[in-house]
Amino acid sequence: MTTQRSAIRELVVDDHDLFRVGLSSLLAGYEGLEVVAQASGGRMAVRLAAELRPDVILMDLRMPDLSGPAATRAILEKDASARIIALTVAAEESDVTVAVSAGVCGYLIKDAPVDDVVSAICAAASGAAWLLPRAAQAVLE
Amino acid sequence: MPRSQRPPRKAAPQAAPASAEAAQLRELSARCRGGRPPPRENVEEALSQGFARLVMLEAELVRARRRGATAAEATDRLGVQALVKELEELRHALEQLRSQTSSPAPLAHGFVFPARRKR
Repeated sequence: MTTQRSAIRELVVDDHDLFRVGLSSLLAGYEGLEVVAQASGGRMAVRLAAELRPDVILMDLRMPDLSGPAATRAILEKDASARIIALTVAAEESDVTVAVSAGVCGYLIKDAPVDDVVSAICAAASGAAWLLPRAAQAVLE
Repeated sequence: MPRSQRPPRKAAPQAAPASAEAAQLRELSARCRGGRPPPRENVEEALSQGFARLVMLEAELVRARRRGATAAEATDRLGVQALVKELEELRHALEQLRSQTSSPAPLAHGFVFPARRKR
């Protein structure tokens, strides 16, 4: 008898169509991951998160209709256990602080290779802590 | 199935003309070098468009390599080479603009907090 592990279900939120579609396509190539939906803005993300209850939400921070931090707060109001990772070009300490204050469980700049995005997703889904070696080294220095 | 009978393809977002994003990134880098740094919003938008193009190209490369592995056609190999070249140019332009603007905060490189309680 074999035990089947269910795939980690993600919601990808970004107002840049190419990024959303490209990332979803790349993630689809990884075993054990399933992009269940994409949202082109914060409001759509809030609705889809409530409907689909994804395991992990990848959230852009700068979006025209509803910002990532505002969408994160709205999602967590409905489901406090939602696991949301900020995935953004915004890389200043103040951006990290705003996102963490809103309730994200993780942060990753878009410079990161897709393998790192996958590692972050897996960590978030399992409830584990994760720190990119580059970030750990910078913190230690 | 003949091409004429195939159902229309689902509309997919189209990438901008090749290297348009890289050109924009290089232009902003040149402004930084020239002592006329662009506003943060412009830099972030250019980076966003650049990374969007990057992941799209990476996804195309995966598909092209998969096609090439089964068909092994010369056109596929050429397509892969062109994609790899554009990816390298774009990565370089992105890294250059990042290094000329603010360096990412250490933690921004990537972390995940452990869950407080199980769902």
